[in-house]
Amino acid sequence: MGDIQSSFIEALPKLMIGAQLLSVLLGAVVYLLGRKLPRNGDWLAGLGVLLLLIVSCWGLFSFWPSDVHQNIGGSFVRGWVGRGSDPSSITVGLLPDLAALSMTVLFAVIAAVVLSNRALLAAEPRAHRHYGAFLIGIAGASLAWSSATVWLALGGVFIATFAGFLVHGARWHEEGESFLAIRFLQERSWTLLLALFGAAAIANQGGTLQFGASFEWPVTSLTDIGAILLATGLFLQFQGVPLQGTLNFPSASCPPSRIALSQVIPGLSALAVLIRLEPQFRSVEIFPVLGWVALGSAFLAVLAGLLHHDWRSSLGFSLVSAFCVSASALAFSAPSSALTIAIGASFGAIALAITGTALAAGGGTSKANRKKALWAKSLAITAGLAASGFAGFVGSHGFLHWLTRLSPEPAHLALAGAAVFLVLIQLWKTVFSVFRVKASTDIGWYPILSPLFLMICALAIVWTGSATGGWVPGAQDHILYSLISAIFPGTPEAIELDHAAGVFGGALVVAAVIAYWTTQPANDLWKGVHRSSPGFAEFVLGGFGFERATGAMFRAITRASNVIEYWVDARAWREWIPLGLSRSFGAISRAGTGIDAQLSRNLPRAMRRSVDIPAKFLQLMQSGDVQWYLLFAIGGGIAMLVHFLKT
Amino acid sequence: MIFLPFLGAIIQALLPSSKGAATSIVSRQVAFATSLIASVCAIVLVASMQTGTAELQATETLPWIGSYAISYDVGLDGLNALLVLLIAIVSPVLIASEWHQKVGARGMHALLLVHQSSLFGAVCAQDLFLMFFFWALSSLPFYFLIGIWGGEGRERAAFQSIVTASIGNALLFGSLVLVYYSVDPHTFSLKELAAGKVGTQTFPFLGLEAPVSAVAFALMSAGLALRAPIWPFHGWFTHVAEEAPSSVFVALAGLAVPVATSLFIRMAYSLFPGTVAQVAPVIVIVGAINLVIGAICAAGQRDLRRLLAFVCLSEVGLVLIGAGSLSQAGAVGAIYQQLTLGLGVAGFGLFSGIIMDRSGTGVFKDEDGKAGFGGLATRTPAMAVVAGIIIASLLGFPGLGGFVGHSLLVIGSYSIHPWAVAFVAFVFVLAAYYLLGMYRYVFLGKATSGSSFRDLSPVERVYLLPVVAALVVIGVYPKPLLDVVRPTVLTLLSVIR
Repeated sequence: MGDIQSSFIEALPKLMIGAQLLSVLLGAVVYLLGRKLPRNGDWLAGLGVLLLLIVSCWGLFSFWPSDVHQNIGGSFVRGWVGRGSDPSSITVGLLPDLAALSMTVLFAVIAAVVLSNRALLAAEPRAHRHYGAFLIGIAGASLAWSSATVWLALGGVFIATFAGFLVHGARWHEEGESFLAIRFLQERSWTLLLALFGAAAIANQGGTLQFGASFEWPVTSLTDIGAILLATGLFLQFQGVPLQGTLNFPSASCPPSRIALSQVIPGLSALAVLIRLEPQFRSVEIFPVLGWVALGSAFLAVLAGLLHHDWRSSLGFSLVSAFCVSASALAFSAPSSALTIAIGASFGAIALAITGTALAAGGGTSKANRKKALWAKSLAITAGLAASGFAGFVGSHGFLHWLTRLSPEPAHLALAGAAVFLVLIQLWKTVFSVFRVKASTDIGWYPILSPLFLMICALAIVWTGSATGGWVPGAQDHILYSLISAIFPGTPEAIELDHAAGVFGGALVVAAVIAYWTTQPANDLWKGVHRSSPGFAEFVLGGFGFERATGAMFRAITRASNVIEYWVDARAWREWIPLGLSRSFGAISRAGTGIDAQLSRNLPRAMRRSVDIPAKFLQLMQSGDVQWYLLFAIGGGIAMLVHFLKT
Repeated sequence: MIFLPFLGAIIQALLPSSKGAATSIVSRQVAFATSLIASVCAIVLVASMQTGTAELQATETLPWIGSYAISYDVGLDGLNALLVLLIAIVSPVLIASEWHQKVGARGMHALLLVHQSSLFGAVCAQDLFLMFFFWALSSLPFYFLIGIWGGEGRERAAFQSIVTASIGNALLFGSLVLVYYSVDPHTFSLKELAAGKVGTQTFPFLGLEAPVSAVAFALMSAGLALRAPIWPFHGWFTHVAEEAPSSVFVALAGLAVPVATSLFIRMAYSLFPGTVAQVAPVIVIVGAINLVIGAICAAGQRDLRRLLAFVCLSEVGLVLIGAGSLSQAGAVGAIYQQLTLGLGVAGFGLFSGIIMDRSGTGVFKDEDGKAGFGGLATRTPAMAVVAGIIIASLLGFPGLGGFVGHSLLVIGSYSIHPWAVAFVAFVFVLAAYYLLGMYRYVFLGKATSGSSFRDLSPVERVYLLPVVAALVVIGVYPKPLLDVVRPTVLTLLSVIR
């Protein structure tokens, strides 16, 4: 048994990459050909999810709990473009450690819960595209977490993001949805481009771009620029301001798969790189700035989310703000805080999306339907608790640790506290928006209850081993081994949390009350703001002027293009150059012809003249009018005269 | 490899001129077979190259014009191996894409074969006169291909192309003659002229002592700039884009343009290392101007073919930035990018040609920004997938050829010319805007009623497959090709430094 286990561990990197590649392949097959497959190919998608789940679970349990502090399996790094030993080369490799395996399980669970909800996807005209996109997305995210180098991780983030485009594109035969899909891909490719440029810049400076080893990047200004670009590109994967274009437009596609594939999975993939490179980012000192930018971005996302009336858009902005807080937690606290906040928010958001969709399905007001709606609403509240880090859920660990490690400066504390408070208000506003969708639904029981799986996965005990998520001082509630501590072995556990827990709990309750109070159907404060300040609302919902600015920029580029084309292509190359050449050749030709004509006219005359005189002279000699020997006599006389004059 | 397509062209001319279907089929099969066999030879030759060496391989040397030290001297190294591969992949595809050509198919195929031969010869030549001979020959087929099979303004476009090419060739020849007379004994051999032997000589010009190296480099650059194309000497190129048949424009933009940049890199690095070291920033500036203006002009296009022309212009700028960086990664990236540029442009040109054949127009959006086609993905899913892969490669998405070239260029150029890399970043953002925008206008959205588009036919699938497969393969596993390129580049860069 031991031999089998050890050989499995040795083979784990190969098995992981094999499972990921196979999942991408199966996903592509289902996406492209799913319509022709039985049951839209959901069984094939399920097979891929199962494969990833089995490999990652087996990996986890093979070592659990004896060697959890070690990387599981052998890791390897190879040169992909260039030699592996050369820092400026592009390297690939796998590091299937605990974090990678745990996150792969998490992605597989999300995929399984959403995809098994056939009733939710029933309204989709091309459900097979959702199945295919999910499989591709989770494989990409798994790759991002299990790669040993930044390059391969960015490849994983790209695949995960591309799945977001694919799920947006599930309705790309519709005008608005196709616009959204392309807009999503444009925005995500811009941000990934920033990250790739950053990685290339660091590589150019000789900075190592591998995970799992202690190294420092060279201290140069160009490395700093590279690090800033890389961190910014990854942070913008969370759809922070200003790249929120796709959230501002309504979409008819299935909310759970859209939220999961366009926000949760790309966001968690990007977080993988940020977390893995945390020591390096910290060493180049860009984290304080990133932390505050993330909080600022969270604040702006909250503003936009509050002014959206539709629960779907509002949910998207809630998730953005939660991811921004997670980035801030990474900057100010520790990777464990960031990851737990992000996990809680992700599970909560997907659960909310499922319950919202289930309620929106509507139906008659029978007792059974009202009962289902009650369950759905209860689960919506539970999802809100999970997302906002209430006691017992994994997010609480992150929020509390973040609060305790913030700068002791009162101003900083106040600003950060205000930002988080607003994030909580916005989140609970979304929860109550979902809560008020419908009072009855005739959808099946599975969609109603499926968020329960997610809620169980979001429990603090699963991740931190603590029953309350750290609300009880002195770690007295720790009843299981902490997976988070195993993933991040350097994170100190014992922190004085009692004040933080009180403050955070109070803030959470107050935020929920304010959200409930301000979103009363009869007296919705945010709708009032929208009505009273339409200009401001328009500005906020238009991406804080970003939409207008980018539109103006692209229009200016198009105008510049037209001007350049007009002067260079249309005028210079099609008019002036041909005209100039034609005129100059014409002028040369005319000049040549003129000279030729002149020559033709004058040459015979000159020739005639030049020939006439000697000819006549010879004629005179021939006729005897001139005695030729006289010429010799005269010539000889002149010659003698010249000779004697010289002497 | 070099003369087989030429032989195919001669056979085309010798076939009986009866209009029977049998003759027609035989002529097509002969054309395709000769092109394909030459390509297979080329691929086998490149595949059998030793990696890790900068030595010239698969060499052939025969005396040609002995009294002027001109010889038939060809060989493969890291600089031309990828170009040989590109020509080998794309040339048979072009002949296959004109399989159903109704008007003068034999003539068109013969000219495409001559073009294939001449490009093989130009990139493999190790004698400057031989190189010039093949390079000048490669411009000739375009005159007839555009003038006979082009659109309404074909005569003018053909005339413009041949005049520009002739001026370019004349300048290039002037440069080569200067180089020839600058060494004693006079020679055109690249091996004997390499390593800066042209560097120190001067010649009197208008009372000044002009350095041969600088003047010859300037003439060579100007000559190739006219054919590359380099902004603002590109007007003929966009004109040809509008008028030429898609296969002919692909031959020009996807083959002749990368070959022009390749010849520039080979001659600049081998013959004028001292001058290149001095003018490298100028090369980067010219590249950056090409890159930015090409991208800006592409952003304003509403026609597929003109969009492709400006994409090509922009990509040439990228190659020049890499070549001018004089760093290992930058130069290797520039050479790799020639292959991906050629394949990407070929793929784009072919699928846009198919769309234009079906619809009769290449205008993908009108002046009000409304889609010209719209929703093709639902009716032509295979075409949408192929176009998606090609556009993704042009954008440098990971896993495709463009990513490798773009990454190497950025890694190599960043510390030397950070401002140029900033331009590259701007252009990539713009490229995502206009290429993905074009994709939406053509393939996504609501299907426009009344148009009867059909998906790729089996023949179209077969000839697009090599291009798409090559983009994927060189994107996923670039190592063997990079191992061929790197030693040659390192050797040349060591001389420049």
